[in-house]
Amino acid sequence: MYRYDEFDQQFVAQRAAQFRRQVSRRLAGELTEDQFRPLRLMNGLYLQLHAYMLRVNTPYGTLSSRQMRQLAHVARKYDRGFGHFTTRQNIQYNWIKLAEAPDAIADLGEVGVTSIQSSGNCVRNITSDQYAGCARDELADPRVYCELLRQYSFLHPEFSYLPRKFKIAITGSPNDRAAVAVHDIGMRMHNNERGEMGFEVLVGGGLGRTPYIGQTIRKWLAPEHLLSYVEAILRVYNMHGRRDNIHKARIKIIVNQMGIDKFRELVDQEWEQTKDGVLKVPDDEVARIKAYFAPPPYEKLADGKAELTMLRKADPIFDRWVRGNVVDHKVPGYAIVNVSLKAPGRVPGDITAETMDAVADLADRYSFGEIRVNHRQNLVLVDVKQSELHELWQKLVALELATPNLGLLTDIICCPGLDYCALANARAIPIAQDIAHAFSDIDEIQRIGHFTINISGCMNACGHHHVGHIGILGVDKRGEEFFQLTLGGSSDQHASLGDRLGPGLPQAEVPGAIRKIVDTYFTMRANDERFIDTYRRVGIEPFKVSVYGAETARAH
Amino acid sequence: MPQMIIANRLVDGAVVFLAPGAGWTTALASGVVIDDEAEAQRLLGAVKQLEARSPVIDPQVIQVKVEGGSVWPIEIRELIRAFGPTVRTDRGDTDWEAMPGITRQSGDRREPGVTRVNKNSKE
Repeated sequence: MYRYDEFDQQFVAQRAAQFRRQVSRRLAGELTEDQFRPLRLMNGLYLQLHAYMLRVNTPYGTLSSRQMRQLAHVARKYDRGFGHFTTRQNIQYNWIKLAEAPDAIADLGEVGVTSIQSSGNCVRNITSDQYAGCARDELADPRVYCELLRQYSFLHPEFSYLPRKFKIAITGSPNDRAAVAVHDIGMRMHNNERGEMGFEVLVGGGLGRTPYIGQTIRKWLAPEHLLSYVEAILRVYNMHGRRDNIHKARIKIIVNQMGIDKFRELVDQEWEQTKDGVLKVPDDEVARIKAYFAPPPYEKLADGKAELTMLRKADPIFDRWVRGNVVDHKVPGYAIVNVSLKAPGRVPGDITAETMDAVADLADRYSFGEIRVNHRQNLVLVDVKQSELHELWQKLVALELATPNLGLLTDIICCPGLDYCALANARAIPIAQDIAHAFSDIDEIQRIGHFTINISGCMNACGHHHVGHIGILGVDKRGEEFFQLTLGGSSDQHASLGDRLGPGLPQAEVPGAIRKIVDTYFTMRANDERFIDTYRRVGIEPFKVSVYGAETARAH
Repeated sequence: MPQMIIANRLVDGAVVFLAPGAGWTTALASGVVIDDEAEAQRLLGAVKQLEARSPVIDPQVIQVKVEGGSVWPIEIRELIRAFGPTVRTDRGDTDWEAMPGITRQSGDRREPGVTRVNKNSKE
């Protein structure tokens, strides 16, 4: 993984010192809040309902065990002993004190972790496939290009004051695990007809109050033009983006108002000026960054499936976990292990300092000291020997990190909602907990199969509700929390936005509504058809009738 | 309707209420309840005038009700601000389940017809 060089290290230390002086001036009454707010936001420090919240980047969701231990240290020393992993592969601390924030930031900087650009109208953390470098279906490691873009966009003077924030995601696999279609720029690596690797570039995707699926602006882009092409898009956005209205300021609005063809024309005009200039990426630069992502020293192992099959037969609980949370690795004898942060009753994405330390220890013992964060708010140990899966599983069970629900109904994405967030209209976490409680039978959720529930506490959609198979949006209805359901969303390679099911429901009725939707799915699914496929085949009406009854369903 | 002035404390972001004597308290019960809307606005104006020298940020007037000698914010948002998140009793959150008169179910302490300021614009 990428390691800070001397310059990076010096810079983040200086930035922490600069922020320390700014905080001192604010506390001394030398700066007003209006003057100070942009300075704290540039360092990822928000003010939430009860305290300051510090958002810390984990670039493309990759962390070393050393970094994870430092995240634990920050949680323990400056927070209430826990953190919250987010849908952008970041971690947020909910209880940071302003006076201590510079110390926390300096401590993070020591291990090459920063909160810079985790807020503000700039290029945010660049996200990717959590299995990058290890996935069997992958063309190449997308993190090399994420890192190239990260270095290019970090404190870029031209793009530090964009009309609005800007999110980029890259997948190296045809099976999109990074939700690239709902990003400002999404990229899919693929080969052209000559067998050369490049990127399909999507633009204008995004969720929030005006959701859009990204559109293809370029079918194939050579890697050497990655920076110049992204710069051309950013320039056109910078010129045409709506700065007059925060709700219309994201790139998705201008792409959809202008039309993709006109937008492409403007980008191409800009790109023509720069594509063969200084931003052309030299091969040796790609090679330099690739070296940081060199595979770990894998042992030459035979495929250990036979031995694993014996262990699975002997222990059905272990078998259930392997079936649910373990994924094939591209290297024989190794496996990818998903670490669930979704045990029933837990807050999705939350993790205590003690558990962070324990995961770091497991990463050192079983997975070359590396941990990944996925956008569904779980962790991953990507390089585990098949022969050590049983031993690792037992340790994960002891830590309550072995719930075998990856991609299943209780693997719920959930924003902090009104329990923490100053923007929220309704709580999200208790809804997730209620649903997890109602579907606590693992055998049942495995029978239901692939099923995503995404919950947001407001229309800003941090919980990606538009692209959940079931999306749940908390709304404020005459002073009460209600929950609006959508069906049929998806963030994979066949991304789609959910359709509104009907009137909002009170909290107590949400788990029952999910139950009715599942029951309807069971009666209608053909063979092993996934919920999303059944939904796309039969449409929303049967689900509407099951939740609201025929009469109400007709009225809506 | 009775009102209070709520804010976040500058130094740590903690939720505080204007207390008698123009100080601030983290205890809802120790905050000053203002019956007169004009007086609430006057006090809010005085707090805002301090600007950079204020020990609090984002002061606002909230509506409360007084029942059996206890003060309760009307809005669920302000209830959560006053008593803390409802989900992590293991890390110092208030145990909402154990609080008399409040359950975790939505809308339990709401009065119909109360409107709230929608401030859904991200920082």
